[in-house]
Amino acid sequence: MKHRLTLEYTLGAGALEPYLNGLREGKSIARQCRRCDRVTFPPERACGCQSSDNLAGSYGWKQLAGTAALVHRTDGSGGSFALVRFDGADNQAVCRIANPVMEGEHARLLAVHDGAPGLLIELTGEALETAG
Amino acid sequence: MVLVAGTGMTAFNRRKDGSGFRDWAEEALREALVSAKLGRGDIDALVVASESDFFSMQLNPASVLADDIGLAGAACQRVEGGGASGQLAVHAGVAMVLSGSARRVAVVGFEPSASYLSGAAVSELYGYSFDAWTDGMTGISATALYALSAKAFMARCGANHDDFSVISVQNRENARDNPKAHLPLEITQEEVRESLMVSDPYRRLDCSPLSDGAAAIILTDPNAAPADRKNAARIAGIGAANDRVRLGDREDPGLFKAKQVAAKRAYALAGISEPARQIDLAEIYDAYSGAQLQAIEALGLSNDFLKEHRSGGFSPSGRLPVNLSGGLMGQGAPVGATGVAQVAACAQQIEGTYHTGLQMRKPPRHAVADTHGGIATTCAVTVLEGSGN
Repeated sequence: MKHRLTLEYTLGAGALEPYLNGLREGKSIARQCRRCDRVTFPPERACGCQSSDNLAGSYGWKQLAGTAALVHRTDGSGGSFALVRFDGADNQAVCRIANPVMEGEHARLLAVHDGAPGLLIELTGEALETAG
Repeated sequence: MVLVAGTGMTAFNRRKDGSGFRDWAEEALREALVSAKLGRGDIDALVVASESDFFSMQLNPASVLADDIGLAGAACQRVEGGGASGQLAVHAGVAMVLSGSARRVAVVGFEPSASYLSGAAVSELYGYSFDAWTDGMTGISATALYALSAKAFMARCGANHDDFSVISVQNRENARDNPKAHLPLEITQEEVRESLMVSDPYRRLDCSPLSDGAAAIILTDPNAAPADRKNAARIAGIGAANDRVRLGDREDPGLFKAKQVAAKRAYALAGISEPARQIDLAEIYDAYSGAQLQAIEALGLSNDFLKEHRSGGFSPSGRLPVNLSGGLMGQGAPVGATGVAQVAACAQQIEGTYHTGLQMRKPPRHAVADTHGGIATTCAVTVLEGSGN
């Protein structure tokens, strides 16, 4: 028996709106804890330093340069992805690599014009050598 | 103390017979009730494990299954924690018995992961098992996230893909003696190395399959068990913990830290102070070959896990047999059923009633079952022991 279900969501960005809007413009808008200055990109909604009390969270937004260093990379049939650390961020980020034919340890954030607002980076290294 | 008075499971595979998850759940529960020597009317509560309504096309499945299997009037609920759903449901059942709110609890896990939707649709849905707003929006697959975690693990401890492919081969080999297994295969490390690259270092044969199936156990207070089931295996300890959902927010993306914490909690309740010495059998969440090694490290099952792995210490004839059932890679992975089946396998091993060819000659005194959702984000660990301990 065949049954078809089509769903179209309207998602509320909520507190992530500055971050998601930034991705569409190619800007890395990071969240900064006002108590310990920890900078996170992608943003953490709650900083570990604020988890031990019941005070209201206190955060601000900060634009980073948008450059990053590769930590680990994986390539496969579904695309190429990397765990990177954006310059100025204290955490790491999972990103899709837009130009997987390149190798290198440095990257920069790209704007996401169409589709889901995911982290998309471009490697700024050398082209991978290919056989033939 | 809580007894595992009965166990049951369907075959784990890709169904082609037109049956559905409601049929599988009923089959598994019927088998569990028979082995517990109990009837449906003896059950006070039903706990159902299932990861996703997207897979089953059924919201509130616990109410439907309770009705289907003749448990109208019993308390019923559904527990969900991604890949950890099955064991979290077991933990909920244990809590019911220990609190006195129920004396006999049926725990049923199921998932139609293989035959209801296309593989591509299931893979896309799994992409939302992680932080859908950040990692998920990149379009990354579960395999690629596990691959990034594996790379961090390999960089830290020096493991290589050969270490992983041994596991891919062994778990499929173990499954050959399991008549309910999805992938009983005779394969070589070379075949693993030459299989399709999915997301390096993981190749197709390093991945667990999408499976259909169900598993069930009956938990009872010792005083509520039939006289000849009072010596059944018992749950000695349960533990759960959560890690940061995004790999990038973890101090070490290759370390299954929440699993460490969950295991310590379960060991503490079970009185296990030296898991590397006291645990005799482990059923581990090997969603991917490398994840088994990462789990062995996190569960504290060896004082030198890589050296012991390379010397065969976790093979069926080794010091600590791991995934004799075949694990997820060999037995299969209908998500909600997985953790329930692990607990069932450990209980049967302790009682000496597991599949011929896989039953340990000397039944284990202590066995550990380990599951997680996400990349070891939601972790659940259960320690079982024999009644003679």
